[in-house]
This record gives sequence, structure tokens and C-alpha cells, in this order.
Amino acid sequence: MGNLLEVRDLTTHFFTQDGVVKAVNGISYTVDEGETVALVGESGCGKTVGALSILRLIPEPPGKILSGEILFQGKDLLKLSRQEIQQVRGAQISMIFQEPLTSLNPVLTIGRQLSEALQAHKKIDSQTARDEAIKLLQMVGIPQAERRVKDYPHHFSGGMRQRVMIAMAISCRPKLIIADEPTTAVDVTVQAQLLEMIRGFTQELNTSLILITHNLGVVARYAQRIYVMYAGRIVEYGPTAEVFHQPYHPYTVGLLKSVPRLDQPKRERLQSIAGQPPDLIYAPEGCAFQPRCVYCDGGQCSIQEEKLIEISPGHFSSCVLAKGGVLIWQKR
Amino acid sequence: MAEEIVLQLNHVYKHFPVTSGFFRRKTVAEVKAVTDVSFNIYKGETLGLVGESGCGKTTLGKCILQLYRPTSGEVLYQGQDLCRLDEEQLRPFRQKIQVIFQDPYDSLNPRFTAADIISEPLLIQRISDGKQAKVDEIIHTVGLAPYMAERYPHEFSGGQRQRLGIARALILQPDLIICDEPLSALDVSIQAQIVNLLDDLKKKFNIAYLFISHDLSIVRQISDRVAIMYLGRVVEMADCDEFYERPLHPYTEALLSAVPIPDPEVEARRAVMLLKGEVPSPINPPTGCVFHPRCPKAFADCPNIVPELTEVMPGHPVACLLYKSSYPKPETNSKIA
Repeated sequence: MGNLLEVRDLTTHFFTQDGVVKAVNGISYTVDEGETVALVGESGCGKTVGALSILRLIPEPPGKILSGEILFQGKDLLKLSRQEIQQVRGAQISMIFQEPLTSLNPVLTIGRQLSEALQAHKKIDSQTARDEAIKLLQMVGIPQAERRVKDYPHHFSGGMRQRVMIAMAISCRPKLIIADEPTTAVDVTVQAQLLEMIRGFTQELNTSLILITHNLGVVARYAQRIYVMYAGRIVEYGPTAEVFHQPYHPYTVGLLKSVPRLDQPKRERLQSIAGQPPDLIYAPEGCAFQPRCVYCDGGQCSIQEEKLIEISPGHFSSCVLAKGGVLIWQKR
Repeated sequence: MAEEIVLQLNHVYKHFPVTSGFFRRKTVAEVKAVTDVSFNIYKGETLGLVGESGCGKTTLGKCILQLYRPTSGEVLYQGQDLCRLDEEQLRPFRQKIQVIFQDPYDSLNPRFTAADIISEPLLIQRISDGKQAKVDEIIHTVGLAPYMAERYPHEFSGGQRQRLGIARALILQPDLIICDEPLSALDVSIQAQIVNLLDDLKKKFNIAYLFISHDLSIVRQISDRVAIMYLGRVVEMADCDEFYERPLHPYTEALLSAVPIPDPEVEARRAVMLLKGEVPSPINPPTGCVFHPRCPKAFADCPNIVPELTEVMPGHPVACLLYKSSYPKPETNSKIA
């Protein structure tokens, strides 16, 4: 299996009045064909910026992609012209955004918005585009699609709007879909419906998926590989089952321990991670997680630049204490 | 149960009028936000109130607080029906039933310092003895540093703000705190901190919580008992472990199966029970059992008969016709894991 997407050493900063926000600091990740990869982390860790940079959707200014390569099918997306990247957006790589109400245009009908994307990338007339739009709405399970293409976004419920977003994302049969917290705005039963549907489409069309989320349950259910981000860097990655079973970074350990589980009785106490994520303007030297880390001995953590080290095949961690797979700390 | 009852709800209804016409003087319909809800909250227990958005859980919380006056029914605190009291008479009771809101950004006055926010309830209740000492103590109790008292809300992080909200609710030494989704605006690692704090405070002060949430995993961690709402009605209620191990109502089953568990090995063995469609409008709820259009186990009588909340097992009432003795017994439900 070849890499469909390879992000190399991507750095995206935001130049604000208060200082430089180092949102993404030299992250590298790959997505294989047909694979579902999760980018996980808490708010402000740079997971969304890390994915939006792929399509160059970072508002510029204040944001700027400072360095790195984004190789999609061997082509560097950062070197493309405006027109060329426009041809990639929606057609080969599409997005599902978090909040469907703000990402759909309120003054255009759903049908118009769907056919707009189709006509931008395919040479079809408006009648064919309209028929195609109806077909897409049927595919995502919207009842009475012929009638509903004429409706506006506010006529739809939150779950239905997200279905429209999914229809839009799959309309041009892209090779890669980036889903940015696709289900945070909806209820669990609807979340299950939507994610099962997205999984169905990715399998059917052999589409790759980057799933950006903070919900570890969703990752466990849908992703083959997981990248854990903290303060603008990837701190651990590997096959989902392995990372959950034996995490090699204290942040991943903390994250997994701090979520209560539906299938386990009440624990005496939830293990929480003390403190808060760092301000990305004043990121600490060395390991960014060090001030909150319970395993840190204050020695090499604060000096050494974080570097991802392979612990077992395909499983990397940036923690200096996990070097060579020998853990100074134990999981349980 | 021999435990002391803090609050008793008897057949609480809350309907909101939908108006239209010239100056909106005509009532054309009603949003049936809460329908026939009865339960007790015992001293020092946490009752988790779960449901999807729009199921009426927040409205019910506000009915208890008398921020909404229920359309009918009783809210009894120490035998006194709060619905019959006017604002002035309610004041002493407000001291005993407090609230923590969902959004720690909107629910704190940006022009007040932390100390002002925390001491405002004392001002309203006209308690002036040892005000400063109380504020200092409560700031310490919720895990904030003393120097933070003079800061303004924008100088606090989300988790710290929620601690402020908790301090404000705690200062009047209430018997019951209505927690309305207090964690949903926070990150997972911070959520765990607040869950632990709420748990500690409960043990320390013997407070009861009504913990309103849509997150079933957190509810399992924090609750002693769980009640589940669907379209304004409580459809099932049970002790926490019983509820998660042996769910009876088909809606509970579907809801539990929809929540992903952060463990790939467990997930690989689980089946998701997908529900059809979305929650119907509470303006025009379905006839009979409100869940029947989406229920995978519905049968001929469901659209016609409103199932009452009846005890199927000790301390485990369910509102579902499948469990009425006159109907054939359903096959036993599988465990969720």
C-alpha cells in the first residue's frame, strides 16, 4: 500500500498582536489509501490547523505555513498555484466541518450548494447536477430528497445538516476526506448514524479518512491508526489497538486514564492530568508536556528536543523516558 | 428506602405555548417539554439525568429551581410545594437548592471579581457574618489559590471558571445542587478534575446532585442512580450499575450501544444498535409510547397505549409495554459490553 498523503515536517504559525502562536510545530504524518487515521488531542493542540494546512485553508494573515511538504499522490500541495489547489479541494480532498450551520451558506438552497461543487469540478449542465444532488441526498438518507433540495439550511435539523455536509464531501468521489470533529454538535444516537454512514462510504469508495476528534471512543471504533497531538506536536502514534493497549507517552496514558468508561463500574477516582495545556505563544523548552507529567524527573525532559522514536514496528513515541521500549514507568 | 428525601417531584408538567397571529396573542400549539415526571432525590445521592438534546432535562432542572414555573404538578422540598410559593417566600428555599450552569463563559458576570461572584449569593440572602472568611474557605475548598480572589473571569481557564461556578453554588451550604451539563464545555483531562472535585464535595458536605448530562460514560462514573428522559418523559430509572448492566427500555439499549468505548478490543466485539430517524418534535409528539416510531421492538399496541413508569424489578421502573405482565416476556437483553 502506498502513501496517499504524506505530510512532512509541517510548521504553521499564527502571527497575532500578542505574539506568535506556534499552532503546529514540525508534524509529520501519513495516510494510506483506504485507511482511516485519527488525529487526537484536546482543544488548542493544533489538530485542526494540522489538517486544514493540507488544503491550505489557513487564513493568511495571520496564519502562515512556514515550512514543510504536503505530498498528495506524490505532488507537493504547498507548491501548487491558487487554481491548481482549487482543483484539488472538493474533488480529490474534501472536508466535513464541525459545525454544519456555519459552514453551509444560509441564503442558498441545499440543492444549489450541492450542485455548485459538482459543476465546479465536472463538466455537467445544471439539470444533471440537480439530479445528481438529489441522488446524493438519497444516499445520505434524507427522506423526500426531491422536495428537500429546494430547502435552505435552516429547514434542516443539526443531524440532517451534517448529512448534507457528508453528501457534499462525497459528491466528487474524493480520494481523501478530512472530517474535523464531525459529530461534536450532535447527539450520540445521531453520532452513531453519521459515523456508520461515513465508514460505509469510505469502504465502498476506498476513500481515506482523516478523523479529527477528541473522543477516544470514536477513535477506538473507527480508526486504524492514531496520532496523538499535544501543544502543536505529535507525541505518539501507531496502530490504534497498540496505542490503546500499551501507550508509550505519559500524555496518552493520562488521556486514556482520565476518560470514564461506559462498560466499567464507577472508579474510586478518575485519574486526571494536573494543570492545563500550555499557552502556545510561550511553549516551554524541551518536552511541552513536562510541567504536567507525573513521570518527569526534571532531568533530560526539559533540555532534550522532542524526537519521535520507534518503540515497536510502526509505534512511535516522543517521550525520552520510553527510549528503546524500556519504560521507566509502568502502564498500570 | 429509608433514606431521607431531599426533593420529591409529583407529576410535573411543563408546557410552553407556541403563539402566532397579531401580536402573537393566539396560542396555536404547545411544546410539551416535560410530561408527567415523578421521582425522589435522596440526601447525599447523585441522580444522573440523561437524555438527548431537546428531551426536557434542562427544563426539568429549571422547574425544580422554580426558574420555570411548572404547568402543573408538585415540587416538594421538606414537604413544602415550591410551586405554590411567591418569589419572596421562595428565597429561603433558594439557599438550599443551588445550580451550576453548563457554560462557564456565559454564566459569570465579566465585571465581577471572583470574590464578588462567590459572595453574591450571601448578599442576596442577606448573610453578612464572616463573609470574608467564608469566601476564603470556599475558594480553598474548590481548589483555587487565595490570590485568585481578585481576578476577573476572563483571567481564568475554563476548568477554573467551572470551579468558580461550583464555589458560588456551594457557599450557601445547599442540600441539593442542580448540575446542568457542567462538563460539556471542558476538555477531557479537565473534565476528570471537575468530576473528582464534585465527588469530594459530595462526600464532605453530604450534598445531593441532580447531574444533568448527555454523556453516559461520565454519568456512570458520577451517579448513584440514573434516570433517562425521552421527549419529556422519564422512560427508565435504576441504580447506576443495574442501569448499565441490565438496561430494559429499548431506547436505553440503543443509547448505550451508540456510545463508543475507548478500547479497540471491546469495540471490535460490540454491535451498534442504530435508531431510525431523529427525535420527533415535542410540539406534536407521537401517540401512545413516544418512542414507538423509532423503536426496533415496537408492536401493534405501542402507538395506542401510553406506557406508565412501573417497577419491573425492585428499584428499576421502566415505561415500556414490553414489560407489562399481560404481554409476552421479551427476550433478555444482552449486556452492553
